[in-house]
Amino acid sequence: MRITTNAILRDYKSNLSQSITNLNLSRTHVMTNRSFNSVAENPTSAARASKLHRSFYRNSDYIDMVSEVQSRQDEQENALSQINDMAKVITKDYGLEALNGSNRDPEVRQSYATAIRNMQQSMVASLNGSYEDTYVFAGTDGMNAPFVLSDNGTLTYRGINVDAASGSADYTKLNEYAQEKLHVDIGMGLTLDDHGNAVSSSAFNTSLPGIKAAGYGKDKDGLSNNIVVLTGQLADALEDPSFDEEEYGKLLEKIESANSNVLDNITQLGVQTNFLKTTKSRLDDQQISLQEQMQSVEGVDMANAITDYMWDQYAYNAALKVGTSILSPSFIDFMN
Amino acid sequence: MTRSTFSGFTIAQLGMAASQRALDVTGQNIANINTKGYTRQRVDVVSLNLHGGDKYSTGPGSKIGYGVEVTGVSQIRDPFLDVQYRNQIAKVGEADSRQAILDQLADIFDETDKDALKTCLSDITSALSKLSDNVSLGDGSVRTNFQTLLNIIHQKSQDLSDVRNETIYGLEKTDIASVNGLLSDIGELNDSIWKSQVLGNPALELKDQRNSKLDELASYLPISVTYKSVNIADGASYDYPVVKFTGSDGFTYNLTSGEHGENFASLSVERNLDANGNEDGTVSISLTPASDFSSDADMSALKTDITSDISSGSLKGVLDMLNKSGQLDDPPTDYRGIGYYEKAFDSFVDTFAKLFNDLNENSTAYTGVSSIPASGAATEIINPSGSEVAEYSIDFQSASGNFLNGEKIEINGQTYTFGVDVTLGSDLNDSLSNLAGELDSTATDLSVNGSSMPGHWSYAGGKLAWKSTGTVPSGVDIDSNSIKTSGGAPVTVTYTANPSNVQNYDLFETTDGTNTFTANNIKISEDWLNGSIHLKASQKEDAGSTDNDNLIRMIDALKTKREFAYEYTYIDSSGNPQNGSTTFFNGSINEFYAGLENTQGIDSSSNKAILNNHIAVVQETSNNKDSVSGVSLDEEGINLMKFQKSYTAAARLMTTLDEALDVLINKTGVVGR
Repeated sequence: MRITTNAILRDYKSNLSQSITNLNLSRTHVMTNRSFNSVAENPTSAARASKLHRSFYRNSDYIDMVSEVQSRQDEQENALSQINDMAKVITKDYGLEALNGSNRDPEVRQSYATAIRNMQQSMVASLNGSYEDTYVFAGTDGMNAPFVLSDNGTLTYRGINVDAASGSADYTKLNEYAQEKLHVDIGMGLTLDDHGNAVSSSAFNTSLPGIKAAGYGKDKDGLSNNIVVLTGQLADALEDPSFDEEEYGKLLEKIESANSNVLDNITQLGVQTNFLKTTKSRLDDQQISLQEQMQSVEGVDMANAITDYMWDQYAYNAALKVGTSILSPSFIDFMN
Repeated sequence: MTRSTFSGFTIAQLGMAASQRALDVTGQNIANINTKGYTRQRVDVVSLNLHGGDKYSTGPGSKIGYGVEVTGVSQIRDPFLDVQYRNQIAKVGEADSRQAILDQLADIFDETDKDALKTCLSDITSALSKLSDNVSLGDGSVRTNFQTLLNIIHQKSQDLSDVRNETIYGLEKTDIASVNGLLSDIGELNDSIWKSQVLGNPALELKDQRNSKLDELASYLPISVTYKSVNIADGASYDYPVVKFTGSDGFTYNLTSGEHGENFASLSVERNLDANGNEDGTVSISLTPASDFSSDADMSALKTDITSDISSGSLKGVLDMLNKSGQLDDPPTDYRGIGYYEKAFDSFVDTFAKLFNDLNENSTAYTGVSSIPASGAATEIINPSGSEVAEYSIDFQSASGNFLNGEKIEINGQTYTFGVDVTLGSDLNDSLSNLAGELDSTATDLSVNGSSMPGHWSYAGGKLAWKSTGTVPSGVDIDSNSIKTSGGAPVTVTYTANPSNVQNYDLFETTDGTNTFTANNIKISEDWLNGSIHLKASQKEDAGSTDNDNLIRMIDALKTKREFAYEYTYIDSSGNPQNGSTTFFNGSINEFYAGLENTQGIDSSSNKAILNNHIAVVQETSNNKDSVSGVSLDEEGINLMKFQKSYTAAARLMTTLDEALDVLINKTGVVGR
């Protein structure tokens, strides 16, 4: 084939422009530390990167959520521990001391009663404890204080007397309240059932209705199951001029059994806290793994990138050098 | 055979002249080495020998020629390479014009190195997630994120429509104008070349110009060039190119025509209108072919729509981008143009907005009264005593439901508000009895046949009735015209529902009031913006203040796979508008956008690969063309030496002859001098 001057020039120009395009690309890779800078450059990696970014954002949400839930649980655990401590003091110290022969004077009993009433108030305060302006024991009604203790000793939970007799409409309602769940998504594979509600195993339940821990309804002897009400009744019994020792004993026993329910709930919270810890560490691991995957899909190996860049630089320099030597000479330069 | 004494001088002179011409042409070649489209030229020479066979004698075989003759200057060209080049440049044009638009689309959809829609969707999930953990935070942060999302959507929608408008503008003002300019140039060049050739001038440079115009034209649309010979005079003919466009439907149209190719075709572009007479964003290209009639003949009747018949070239690239939406067309087409991205994006917005509107719907069923009568019936009742009283009764038997707090009813020109003026009853009958009681104390008088009469309201058996206390003259017919309000107006019942009982909880609405959301018309509903509605955290009837079941549903909705369909209306065979829909994606909201972005990336990267291939082939073809027609400085240098030497040699011949004659003239016959 006949090679003409313009053909050489054209080829040279297009090769030089290819060479500087390559150089620019490898330079961009080094400067941005990314293996591609537009979807068109590498659609497959871009699709994977989108997916990884999405998972990464989601995972960050889960981590935030777990921390948040942990804090709320700590608040619940603290409150229940306080109640438990107070119940212990009442049953172990005050309760028995009050039965002590020398302490049976009405004045002494009155002082015990006052102390116990104060504790009852504290219990209610604990049960109305809040975290970030929502009440932690309010089930799904976190914006309103759940427990109200009126002067006559009635305790209501969300407006319903906790002493509702079993079988009554109030009791059914309380039962419903005690079962209430508040699900949050912490990356357990959130799925909805046919009614559009979260499947329990796929989301975390953050709700601990106060009556579930403190008790509600009455037992077969007509005694309240609620530790706060019982505490109040204990104080009543102490204040009663005709102090009924037998009834007092029964109340103490009942408070102990109600307290064991509180303790059960604390244990339950402990189990959940453990679960959250494991979840958190799993999510943290996943976060690192996602970051690594993102780096491997989007990032560049600096050594490689710089080598590529140096090589393209070298190729470009060589092309320039070749240019100066092929462009000028022709037969004409050698004519005399 | 006898030789003329001075014949040798002519040979030398012709030789010098030929070398001189050859040097001139070499000079022309070197001078035009960088001229676009220049074809290398060559001096055509023949050896001059006018001797025929002798008629009467056979001389010795020493018939020597008379030197050299320059017959002309010609171009070295391979027409096949022209065809190859023009076919290839059309493909480059097509891929190149697509790439230009794909690059603009990439600016809109490619979010590789920026945080935009994808990040915003993730932010919405985060905000919903935070809210689900603590509903008391309020939906402000979710709304802000939605607002940001909508801003991004509007921006992208605006950018998309800019791309379309700029492309149409470019087609109208640049592409079609260039094609028409080229066609007219070619026609005029044909005319000029013909005029030059009539005068005997080969017009090589004009031909070069015409060839580069043809090459340029070929990048816009596929053309074929054949040559047609026309006799200028006896023995002299002129070849002119007949440029044709062959559509993909097989029809061929002349782009140049006339006596010697001086008439040319023209293209025009129109913006297409939809059924409502608005521009629908697509365009049509029409061709008015060249004719053999005189150039001022009106050819508009031959104007043909060739939009779908252009098989390659940059016009096809632009048309595909403007007119085709791939699988979202009905019927589907073979290319994903701008329309695909517009439609897919609209479908994304529609699905998204409707999804959230549905999730946030007002789940409390409206329990207000339906089927309220608008008026009642008037009649006369004959008491057992024989006296007649007037009765106006409003029949509520077919009404159902019960009045709600704050609802208003207007009877007898007066408005009664339930819960304020009238106590709400436990059911409709109860409420109506209360209403009757209220009416009885406030609107006892009605006008019967023009005169005001006192009466009593009562409610029984589904009828709210007023009965006059006084009697009316017997025998007087009472009809609905007889009983009027005390003001003389007809008695009517107007029922107004309390707006807050029928509150619409839509989070998004369209700016134009249509039911279909598009990237352009979506906006956050006024009610949400001014706080009269909120994100519904729970759809339970007796939801607690921090119940979050609906928020969990929203979080789930963002990641649940769903079908995305593009909905459109079309006119069926009997001329009625119909709704159609094409399902084109199955995945989550998040995946959809990533998918769209990726589709765009793949379209762009595959087109780029095609473009690079075509460019490489065009370059190869250019080199092949150059290897035939291009100027090589090496060759021209050698030619310079060659023709300089031949010139010198011819001059030397002259000297030699001169010396030889000198011997004959001056040195011969000197005996005896």
